[in-house]
Amino acid sequence: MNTGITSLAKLPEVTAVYPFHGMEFAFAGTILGFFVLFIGWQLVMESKHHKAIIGNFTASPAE
Amino acid sequence: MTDQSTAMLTLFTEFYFFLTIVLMFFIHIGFCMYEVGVARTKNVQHTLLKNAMAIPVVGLAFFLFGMWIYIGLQGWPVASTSVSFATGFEPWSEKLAPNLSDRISGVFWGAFALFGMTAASIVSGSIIERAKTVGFLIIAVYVGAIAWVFPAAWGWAGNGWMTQYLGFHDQYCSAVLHSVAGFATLGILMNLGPRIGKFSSDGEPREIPAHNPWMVTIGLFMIYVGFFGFYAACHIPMANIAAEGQPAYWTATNIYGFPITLSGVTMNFLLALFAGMMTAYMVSGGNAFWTFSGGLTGLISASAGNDLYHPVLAFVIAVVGTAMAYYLHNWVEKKFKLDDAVGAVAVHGYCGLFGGIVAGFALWGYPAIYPSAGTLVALSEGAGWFGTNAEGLPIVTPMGNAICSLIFAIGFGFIPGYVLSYLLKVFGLLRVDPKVELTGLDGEASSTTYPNLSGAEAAFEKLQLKEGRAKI
Repeated sequence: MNTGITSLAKLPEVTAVYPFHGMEFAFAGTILGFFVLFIGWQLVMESKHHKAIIGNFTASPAE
Repeated sequence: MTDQSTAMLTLFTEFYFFLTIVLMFFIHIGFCMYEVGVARTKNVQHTLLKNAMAIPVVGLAFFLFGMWIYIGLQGWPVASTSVSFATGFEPWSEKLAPNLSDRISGVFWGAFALFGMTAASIVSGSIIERAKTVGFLIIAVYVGAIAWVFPAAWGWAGNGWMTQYLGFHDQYCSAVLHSVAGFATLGILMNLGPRIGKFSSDGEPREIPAHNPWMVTIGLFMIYVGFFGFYAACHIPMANIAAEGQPAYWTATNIYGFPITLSGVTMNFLLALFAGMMTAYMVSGGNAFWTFSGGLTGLISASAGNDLYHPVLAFVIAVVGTAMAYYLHNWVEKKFKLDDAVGAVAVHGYCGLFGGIVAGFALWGYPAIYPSAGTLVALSEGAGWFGTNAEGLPIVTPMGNAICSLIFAIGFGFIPGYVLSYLLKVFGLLRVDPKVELTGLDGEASSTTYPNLSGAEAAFEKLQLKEGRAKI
């Protein structure tokens, strides 16, 4: 088993040297999925944070 | 690479862009420090993270589609109606990965991604202390990976159709990036509204105290440092621009393939910086915030033509742009009750638009491009709607630069910024609840910002002492 490059004997012909060459569409899909997940996560996290602040709200610290 | 000269050229270019990326990160350190300094203590962590998260979010958006827009749509829809999905900058490209047959695409992508993050950060500072992070990040994706990228594809590339057909020239992105981000901010601020207490009942703006003016100062100086990287990243550092069959002519070029010297650019960069700082110092009566922002207003005003101006011309343009930005900012703030916490609309929007338009006059008649195999710039058929030179190359004109600059600022900045922020407002994603704003966006975490001042450190010390005594 190998994940990519196993020899540099024909160096001038070598192009992509990263593992799992050929799975670029899957890589792109992974990034897109993570990107969407992050935005959703931020939405929920911020909403909870603000709810907590509103729940604890007092007129002002100075009063 | 087996040919030594090709190898030297390639590796030098690769390393050159690599260093520009490192330098440009100082812009973000600067923006973070600047915004955090301007924010009040109760909003420090929110301000920092809101800005900082624009870096990865815009970066990923740039990976997914931003860079493709720049490369894939340079001729579309005027010079070409077809769109390619094999540019080498799609997220599935083999070139955006370790690939021994391509040593430039990744560093080139990195430099552009940093440009995009800068654009998004311009918006960030203006909306502090009342904007929701999620709303800002959605805006950041638009401003950082779409809004300025179309103008860049069309007018900040040798093969861009606005460059070729309208003779547009904007070497260091006055209009292409700064005016777009600045005017998008203007549209967003109109929907966001001012911070509670910013304006008195009779409409007079109040100064909301910066919690740490020293961070503001260092932050702005850091942005100056990053700007050197920004400028450097706008060049092709070494290319043979000789026509086929002619003796080689090696030089650095601007983004349009026109030969330039880094020496001349350095002079213009510094003279514009000097002019901005000195002018802002004078017109503001020695206000520190405006004096340091003045370095940026000077630079951005002169940036469109700083590859070719005489240093004194750069100086004069920077003086005028800075004075205009200062007075216009104060007038707009009072007249329209716009709360721009860091003056980004003036610094980037007004100066960027001014710089783009002025360059059309100052560089009137200059060839807008210089085609060569070394820079991959090629003349399009029918180029030069507003005139050509003796060799048939499109020329820079006031008309061409004014039209493009206004399209960028209004069409890609102000209008979409207004519409997008309006939609975010409708869905409750733009502004925090007044209770959150009054408490502070950090909420309970606020006490950890400065634990020595909030009492958090003293409380822990007391606890530690109590437990420690039991063990002695």
